[in-house]
Amino acid sequence: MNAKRFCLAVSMVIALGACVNDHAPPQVKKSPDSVILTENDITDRPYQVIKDLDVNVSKPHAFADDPTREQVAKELKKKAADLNADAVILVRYGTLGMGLFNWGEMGGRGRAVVFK
Amino acid sequence: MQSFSNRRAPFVILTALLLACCSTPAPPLPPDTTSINRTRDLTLDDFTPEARVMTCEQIADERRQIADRMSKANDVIASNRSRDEAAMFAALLIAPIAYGGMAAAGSNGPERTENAKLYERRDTLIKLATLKHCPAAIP
Repeated sequence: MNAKRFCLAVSMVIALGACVNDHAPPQVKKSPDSVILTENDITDRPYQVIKDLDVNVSKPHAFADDPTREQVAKELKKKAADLNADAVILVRYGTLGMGLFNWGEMGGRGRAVVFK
Repeated sequence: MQSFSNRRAPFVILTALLLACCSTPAPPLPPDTTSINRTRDLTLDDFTPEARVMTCEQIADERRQIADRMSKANDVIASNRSRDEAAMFAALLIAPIAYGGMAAAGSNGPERTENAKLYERRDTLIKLATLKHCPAAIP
């Protein structure tokens, strides 16, 4: 009898546990391709600053191709998408050259913003 | 004394080469004065008297010139890149070749300095254009 009650209690706890829902909306991750990238400011839409981004793209070995601005831009977009930003403004690039621990690197900066 | 400086020379050259071939980080971002969560507003007092009297057309024209100059400076840096890299390889492999490498390596110093200055000026013009409600015609 006790064993029966115990089993019933356990199954009820499991059933109730399965019903728990924190009602949190599923986090929809933004696609990097949808992030706007501009070297200028955006003046026709109000925006809120999320974060200033700083990225660095380096080549893995001496005989690999040098990093390009397109790769830096892609990295900025990726970082901005992770923050759910709509755009990266005031984008600027560093100059290509050797890094401290690699054969070539290029940096980039931009301001991740979300439209309001 | 002479032999000591001879021994030191390759290291000095190698260091110089390393510095010449180094990358430079992207210029810092200007303070935020345009977002809805900005900490302060921009006024004409933030600009020099010469900048204050500029028209939208003059601002757009200077921004075009800056874009051209940046592009040229970047072309110079890119064209020196392979030459610098080859010189660096030579310097690392055989020290005496470093003398040749040193002669062959181009210094991008002026272009890099110019780029930093151009970015700074461009930021000023972007802010001035925003303050004057100039049309955003520059790509």
